[in-house]
Amino acid sequence: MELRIVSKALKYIVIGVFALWTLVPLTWIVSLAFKSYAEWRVSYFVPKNPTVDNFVLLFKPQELLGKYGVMGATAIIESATKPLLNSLVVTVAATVLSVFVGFFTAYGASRYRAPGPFTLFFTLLTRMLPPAIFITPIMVYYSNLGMLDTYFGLVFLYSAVTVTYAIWILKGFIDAIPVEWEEAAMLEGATPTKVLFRVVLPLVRPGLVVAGLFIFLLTWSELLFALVLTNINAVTLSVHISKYVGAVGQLFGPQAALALIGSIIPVVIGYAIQKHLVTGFTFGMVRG
Amino acid sequence: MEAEVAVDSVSKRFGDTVAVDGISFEVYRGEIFTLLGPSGCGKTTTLRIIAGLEKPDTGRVYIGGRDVTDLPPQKRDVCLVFQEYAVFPHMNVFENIAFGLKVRRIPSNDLRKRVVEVAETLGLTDYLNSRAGRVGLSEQQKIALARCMVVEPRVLLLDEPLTLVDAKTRERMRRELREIQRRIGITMLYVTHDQLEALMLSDRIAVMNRGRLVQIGTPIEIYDNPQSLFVAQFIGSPTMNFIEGVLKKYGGNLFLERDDFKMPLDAIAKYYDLEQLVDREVVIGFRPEDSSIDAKGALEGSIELIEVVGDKLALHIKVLKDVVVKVYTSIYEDVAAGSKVRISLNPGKVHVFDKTSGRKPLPIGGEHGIP
Repeated sequence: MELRIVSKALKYIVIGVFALWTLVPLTWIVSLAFKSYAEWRVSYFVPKNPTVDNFVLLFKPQELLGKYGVMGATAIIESATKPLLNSLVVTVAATVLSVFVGFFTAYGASRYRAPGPFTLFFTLLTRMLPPAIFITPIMVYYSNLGMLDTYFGLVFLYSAVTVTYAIWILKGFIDAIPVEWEEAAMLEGATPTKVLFRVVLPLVRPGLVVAGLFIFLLTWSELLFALVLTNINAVTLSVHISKYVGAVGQLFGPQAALALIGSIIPVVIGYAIQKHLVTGFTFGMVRG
Repeated sequence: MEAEVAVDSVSKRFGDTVAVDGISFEVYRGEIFTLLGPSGCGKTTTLRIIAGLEKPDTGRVYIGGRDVTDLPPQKRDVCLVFQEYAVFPHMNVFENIAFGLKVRRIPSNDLRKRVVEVAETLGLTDYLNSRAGRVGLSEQQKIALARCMVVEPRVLLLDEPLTLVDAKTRERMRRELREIQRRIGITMLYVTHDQLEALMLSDRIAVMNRGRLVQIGTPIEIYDNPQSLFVAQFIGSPTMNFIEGVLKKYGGNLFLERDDFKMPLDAIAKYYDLEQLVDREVVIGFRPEDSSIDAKGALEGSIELIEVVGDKLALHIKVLKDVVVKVYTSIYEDVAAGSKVRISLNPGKVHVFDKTSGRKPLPIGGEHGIP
């Protein structure tokens, strides 16, 4: 009896520690985002004078400098509007491109066997090296091709490095579709293109959602590539967030506020497609 | 009669395995033609070759007189009902049936009419708005059939469509299938490993073994006159009785001999040219219903087991130390396990096979039917 209470208590302690471990940084960001300047550097969670200044000032860089000019900021930090839009455009485009290319590649890999030693495994190669290694050559190429600081440059790179996830996730989904469904469709008069779009595509929709969300999150929060490859025009949200604390300032409050905004979007998307996610993760298990 | 499907010396190998080994046959308009054989005999591969899902290594396939060997499945004017995965789970029943019409861009009025019509024929009207994955297994097979019927193919191909439904439903669906086929007069090419199903359903049966066609005929021909030991062993439930031995000739009379067992074969020699098999190993086969308990019978044995099978008795009679034959007799027959009885055979229904080749000797006067 006592043993049971002890083991139960232990279980809750372990769970509690893990919960703290994951939730503290999040709570800290939420708390900091609503704190006023005076409270940024103090350690309690609940702000004494909650304020939305940090949010407002993100989009009014002139006032930002005026308000925290002495202590916080030493240079003008651009409004967060453009980085937000940039991130949205780049992430959506890269995700769509990656999933699109990934779907066709995965279909081919699932249904046909390519000659030669090239297997799908090789698509994982780029993921095995630390990105820091190949960012330098990419920067040189981009510089020569005029692709630095452009949407196209970012979309191209992001879709190239994430497409392997799309391929592997979608291949699992396509493998789970009995080839008889496609054969039946063909015999009923569907051309291979129609089979692909009317039978295979609707059936892997949960897979498209899972792959899409996964790639969206990866791309949305990517920092290194964007930091190296962008400067003014194509600065992404994660790069912009990093600017608030560092060489140009110590603006903890606005940084937390922007981080909060930046994490709301994936959470909202994740919530909206929750239903698909569940089918997505359990797909392949339902088949006997 | 006109051939709707003609298969001309088609072969197909997968790696080192020869799946289909130079087979030829024709399926006539409006008949149910069954490819029957044990699993791995090449029947499904043959069907898939006809459907265009596999390419034959050699040989040609004709459908409606047109060489379709190089055409893709959607241009062959055939449709295939699969054993499994019959319906698209992401569509409802109506959309499933309408699929083939939709990809052909049939206008929606016409489409609706045709779908409803086929659904009525198959008794699916009540299910039209259900999700296809939710209906029962037998309805799913009907939906698969409906999907094929609605596009009005020249030939309907069916690959063991009833294997997965339960025994009772299977029997009912077999009858329904037969009845629908009669009504709409469509040509069906049916594949099954279930010999009872083949016998019940088919106009003609082609028995396959190891990639080859071993016999083509009506169900009665196949049952009554198996041309090889394989067909004799494969067809019939219960299976045929077999006795092995050497064919001997003593003083003008023929015997099946084995050790000190001797069975006169003169009555049977009237039907077959047995002379060519003298001194060779042969197998004698007869069905339980073609034998009876008879004091004057040529075979003797002791009753090992008595089974009541409906309105008759099945006697398991030991005629040799390792041969037990099954004989049917009236349920009123006075028999006891352990007693000795004699068995007489209907000579016209006894089959003789060369043990090495598995073939049958030539019949005399064609009385036994022509292969």
